[in-house]
Order: sequence, then structure tokens, then C-alpha cells
Amino acid sequence: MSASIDRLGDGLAVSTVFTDPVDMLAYRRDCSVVRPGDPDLVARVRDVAEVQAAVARAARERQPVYVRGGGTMYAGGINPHAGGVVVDTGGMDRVLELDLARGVVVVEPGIRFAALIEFLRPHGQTIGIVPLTGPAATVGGAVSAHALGSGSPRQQGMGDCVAGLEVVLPDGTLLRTGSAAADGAGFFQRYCIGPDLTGLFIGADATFGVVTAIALWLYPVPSSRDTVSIGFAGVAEAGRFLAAVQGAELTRNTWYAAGYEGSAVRARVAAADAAADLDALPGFCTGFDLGGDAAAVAGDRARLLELAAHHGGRECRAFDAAYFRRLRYDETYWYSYAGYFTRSRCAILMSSLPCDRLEAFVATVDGLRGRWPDYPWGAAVVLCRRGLHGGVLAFYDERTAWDAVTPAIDDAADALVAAGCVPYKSAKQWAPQVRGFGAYSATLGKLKSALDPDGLFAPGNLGL
Amino acid sequence: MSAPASAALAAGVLARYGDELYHCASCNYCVDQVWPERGIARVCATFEHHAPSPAYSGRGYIEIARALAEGMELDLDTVAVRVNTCTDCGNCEVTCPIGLHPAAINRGLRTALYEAGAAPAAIATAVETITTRGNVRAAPAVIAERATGTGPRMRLYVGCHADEDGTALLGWLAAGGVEVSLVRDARACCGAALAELGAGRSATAWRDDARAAVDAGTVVLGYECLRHLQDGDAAGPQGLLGWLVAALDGGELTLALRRGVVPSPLHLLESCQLKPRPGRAAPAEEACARNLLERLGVPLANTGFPNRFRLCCGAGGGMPAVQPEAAARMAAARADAAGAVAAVTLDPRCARHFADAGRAVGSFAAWLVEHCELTATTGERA
Repeated sequence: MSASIDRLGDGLAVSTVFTDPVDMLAYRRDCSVVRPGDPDLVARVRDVAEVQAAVARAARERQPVYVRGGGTMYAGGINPHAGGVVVDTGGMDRVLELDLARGVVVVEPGIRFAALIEFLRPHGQTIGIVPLTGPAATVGGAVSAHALGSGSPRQQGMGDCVAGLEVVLPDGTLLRTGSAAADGAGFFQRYCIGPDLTGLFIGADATFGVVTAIALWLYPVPSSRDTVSIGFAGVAEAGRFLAAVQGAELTRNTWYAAGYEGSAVRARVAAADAAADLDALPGFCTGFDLGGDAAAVAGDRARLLELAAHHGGRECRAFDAAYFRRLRYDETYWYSYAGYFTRSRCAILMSSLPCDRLEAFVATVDGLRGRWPDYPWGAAVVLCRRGLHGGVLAFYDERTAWDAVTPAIDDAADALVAAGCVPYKSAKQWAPQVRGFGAYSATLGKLKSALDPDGLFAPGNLGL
Repeated sequence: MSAPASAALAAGVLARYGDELYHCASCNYCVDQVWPERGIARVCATFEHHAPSPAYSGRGYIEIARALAEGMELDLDTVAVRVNTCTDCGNCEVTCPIGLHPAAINRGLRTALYEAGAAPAAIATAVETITTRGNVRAAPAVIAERATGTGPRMRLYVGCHADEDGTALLGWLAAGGVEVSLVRDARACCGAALAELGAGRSATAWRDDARAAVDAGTVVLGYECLRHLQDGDAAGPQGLLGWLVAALDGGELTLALRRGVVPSPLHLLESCQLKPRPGRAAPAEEACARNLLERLGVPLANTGFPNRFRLCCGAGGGMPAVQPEAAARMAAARADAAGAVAAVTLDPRCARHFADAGRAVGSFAAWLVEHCELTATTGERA
């Protein structure tokens, strides 16, 4: 490890600092359609002291602070629109503590999901949520964005798997939340002292502090797995089925589940089997990745099919073989990008919705197809413990259509809110809509003023 | 570099790679990735051992090319160092989920910068050494034609590997009865090293000269040479191990451990030059190495061989010239990965780099020479 050195002679004792524009090119943006920003300085930190040094320097120079993990998010949260210091936490990638008795692992924010899973594997343990970008995505980034992924049907989102956090606040204070707020108690419970301060930093896109350690609850690795894809004639039937799945607690052994439009189902199957009967494919298809002991998996599989039958659904083996099983078993970390970006650049807008709004969600995307015919639009939903996360995708040529696609995405955001969907992975992508949520936005603003009175942390994110 | 030259550079990059520059999703799989199921602990040796800056990664090269194409004013001396601090291992291409070619973009940048006179001084010196002395090390060619056997015939292009190891190999083949004829009517260098350093025009001209002298059956010792000479030509020359396995399969030769040699596990370090890349198959030399060890009853220590996502030992690209200390760290890391097991590398260039870095990792060919006996089944031995 490099020693912490004050290379700029201004009190910034950080092991690696980049100030050359060439070195900072890759820090200008994430995967999103959001326009890039230009940082003044990048501090690649290795420990809490270096984070505090970077924050102190930014405060002294009154420079904005943006925090970057793997840079794989698609809401523009790390894009340094206001310039300033980018704190790159990618080098803080250690496991700090594994406490099997308490069922908690404490990690630094820069650890890659795939590395953490590999570390836990010999112990027969895993974590609650794993994004599909696991090889490059960091745990800290996923906490900052409240990511979804494998585990969402069981847990909901990344923040629901966090037992507590360690955070450097804008004034340099080191805060520990949950049970770890008590000296020497360590991380084992989240809600033991008053309100949930942990939640303030989850999905906050670094607007309130820099997360420097994350305590995650552990779960046993399932001994058996299976997938099943179930198709429906239409979206409405699928929405009612998914609500029934949640109502029956059939998400307990479901490690991942998603829903796909009929056009996507036909495209996937046709790509895998040119002779497939596409007319026989459903109008909407769901896929379930089940995990647990063998009896539980087999039992839930049967119950899902039985429940689906009540809603007119039936098993769709063609889609399972062509796509969903392959996605879950062989290419979990691959399709997230290959599936979206192979044709062109892809703007992704994520929202949350209850299952009974699935039909409205899909209708909204159909409306976008009519209003913005220049872009191929796609839609997919991920099943959570309650409700859904819906992704709207617009494929565009970034060389020629970057400016032009932006109003289409803004239109999509407004249309989704009008359809009863809620901004998810807000960052800069949803900032105008978040500002429109009166009391909620105002309260966020008051908290921001209290913790970051100079507004230096991630300006622009969450509309703050 | 003058403004017009910079603009020309940008235009050239945009014309050739424009679609890819605007297609990158910034996923960072080519920067810093961990994927245990695929044997990936790290993806970019430069990011790992030189500087943790994405500017040195596949994504960084795409960002640089795009910035230049869009007219962003960058210090081209800095760009030239970043672009040449690359081992050309190709991992960024192998790991790209959507099949982009950041290594090719890097090579395009390197070539454009060199042709514009903006290469780092160390690169210019290395190119000068090659063009005047025949190889990047300025090593004298010590290999000499010698009396050979009357067994199977081998036409051999030694290129810049005309050193002591090459001489020993030639003697071993001859002692085994192989009738070896050296390709004499070509430059000592096929231009592969020039291509890696960005001297594209010379590299192409020298490759064309060498191609005129070698045929489909010619054995080429260096894998960077093999890759360069085979470029886009499936009927190009072949590697040593492929030739050996074919001769063994054809019953023209036998291969056995020398008397007294105990078959103990061997860790085989892959060559980046033999890595299959998108749209390009690689010579089957790695499969042949495994085949030879199986014939000899020597256990292969690294069960994951060949790792498709191998990290460079530091011998490739502009790394040894521009960042020799980082190149040595890369060699140490790869050698250490073998643990206490004896390790050899398939690539003779890598073997020399390991030696320069003070690591006891010889070439597989040298291991064969030392531990094995080759015998022609027809004809007399020399």
C-alpha cells in the first residue's frame, strides 16, 4: 500500500491523488445518460483517515465532494457536475470483520461484490443483495444507491440488508449507526437506538456523508436451486399473479425474479432457436430463481405454478431455456451489460411501483414508443419482497443522439410519476421529480442544511 | 505535437474507432473486476501494478481516444505515456461484455502518436534499437546453422530469439534427428516488437518481408512473432509445440523424460500472445503444451490452465521500456502465483523478462531441452 503523502502540499494526505485531466477522464461519468462533469481532483483513498483528509481539504477549499465506488450506476450520482473532489473508494476493499456468531460481515465500501461472495463461500454464507454488475460494482456504491439484484424478492433492496454503517460526515465526524453507535458494542442490530440513522445514508448518493464501512447481515447459501419461467396472456394477469406471490410469502425462497414484455421474450427465444414457434409465446413472462433446501425449492416451484394457473399462467420452458436459466446460472454478471448495451448505448430509468401498477407501467412505455419513435424502448421489472422495480430503457446512438434522447428520458420520468410509479435510484436522473415532492423534499433539504450547511456533498444529487 | 497533428490524430481515431468510442457503457469490467467463477482476480496488470488510475485501462484508452476525437485539449506527452504504459495483453477485450476492442484502440493511438513524433523517449529509443540492432535488447545473434539429422524436417524462423536458448533448442532438435533449416532470407525481426511500440509503418513493412520468407509450415519461435505473422492469415506459420505434437502424432518422433528425471508438477505460465481475442483464434500451443506434459507423465500444477484472463508478466507492449519497475513487479506477481512449484513460461520473450526481473522462470522449450530426450523414429541421428 502506498503511504499517505501530502503530495499537493495543502494538507491532503492521501496515498493516490490525480490532478491531470488525462487521469481524470474516466471519473467524469457513470453508465448513465446523464452528462459528465469535470473534477478538479481525484483522491483514491485507502482508509478512513484518508477519507477524512479529503473531506477536510474540500471543506477548507469549499470544493464539492463526489464519492465513487465502481462507477457502474446509471443515475449520474458520481458525475461531478459541480467539479471539486472525487473521492474514489475503490481501493478501500477489505473485509474488516466476519462474525459468524452474530451473522454479520463488516466491509469497506470499495470491495467488489464478487470478491465478498468468494470470501464468504467457504463459510457457507452469502449476503442479501447482489447486483447483476457484481464483478465491478462495489458494496459502497450499492448502499449509496440502494441497489437491487439477486435477493430482492427476499430482502427488497440493498439498504434492507445493512445492519449499520460507518460514515464520515461533512464536518469530518466519524459516525457509526445502529448498535455500533454504542462504544464497543459492534454491529449486530440496526434499530436499537432511536430512529434509523442508517437509512439516512442509504440511497442518498453521498449527499450526507462518505460511507467508510458497511455491516451486512449474512444468510446461508442455498443448498439447492432451480428456475421456472411462467408466461401470461397479458400484463394485467401477470401483475395480479406477482401480487399474489408476495401475499403468499412465496418470495421467501426466491433469490431473483423478473418480468419481461412479450416482445423481449420473443426476441430472446428467436435468438436461441430460429425454429421456435413465436406465436405460442406469452404476452408477458416472469422468471423465478428459487433457492433453499431441495424440498423447499420443489415445493415453491409447484406452488408458483399452481398460483399462476389461477391467473391464467403456465410454464414457459422455451423462455427459461433460451434466457432466464442461462441468465441466472451462467451469465448473471454478463447479461446486465451485454443484454442492454450490445445494440447501442442504453439510457436506463429505474422506478418503484406496486404490482397493481404493472399494467400502467407497461402502458407508459408503450406511450413513450408512440411519442419518441426514434428510439427503441424496452421495459423489464424486478420482483421485490413488496412491489416491483421497473426499468425503462431507451437505446440511442451516443455519438449523434445524446442531446436528443435527454428530453425523451425526462418525458419518461414525468410519465412514470403520472402513472403512479416512484423515482428509484434517484441521483441526478430524477432530481426534478424529487424536488416536486413538497414536504419530503423540504425535509431532505432541512436535513441537508443541518449536516452539510455549505452544500458541498454531491450537489445535484436527490435534487439537493 | 502541433495542433494540426493533434487534429489529424483525432480525425484518424474517430474514423477508425468512432462507433466503439460511443458504445462503451463505462461498466469498468476492463478496469477493476473480480469474478472468481471465471478465474478473474484482477483484470488489468497495469492498473494493478503500476497505478490505480483508470487512464491506464481499456476504458481509459477509450476515454482518451474519445476526448481527442471531440477536440478536448489534452497534454499529448501525458497521453503518450498513458497509452504506452500498456502490456497489450488484451484482457480488456476479452472481458468486455459487449465485444469492444480497447486494446486495438490503444494500439491505434500508440501508432498515431508515434507517427506524429509524440512517442515517449523510451519508446523512440527502443524502436531505434530494434531498427539498428535487430532486436529490442540489442542482443547479438549467436545462433548458427549446424549439422542436423535426417528425420522430420523443420523450417525454423528464429527471429529475435537467436540467443543461447535458441541455440540450445537447435542443438536439441538436431540431436533428436530433426532436419532443421533456418530461414535466412529475412530480417532478424519480423516487426512484431515494432508494432507493439507503435512503429506501425515499419512493423507492416518488416512483416511483409518476413512473410515472403516463411511459409505455412515454418516454425516461428516467438509468440509475438507468430501472432504478428499470422495476423488475419490462418494459413500462416506455426508454433514449435504444434509442430512437435504433429511430429509425435505422426510417429516421426518420440519424446521421453531423460533418465533419472522424476516427473514432478510443473506450473505453466500462459503467454498473452496466445490468448484468444474477440474475432481472432489463437494458435493451439497451449493445448499442445498440455498434450506434451501428458505424454511425459508430468503433472500440470495449475489446474486452471490455460486461464483465459491471464495477467501479463510485464514483458509485453511498451511496459518494459516505459515503466521497467512496474514491469518487474508484474513478473514477480506472476512468478509468485506459482508458489513453491517449479514454473516455466510458454513464451520465450516472457522467460527473458522473468530473468531480467530476477525470477527463476525459464521457457518451456528450455525445460524440454533440459529434461527430455527427442528421438527420430526414421533416419539417422546427427
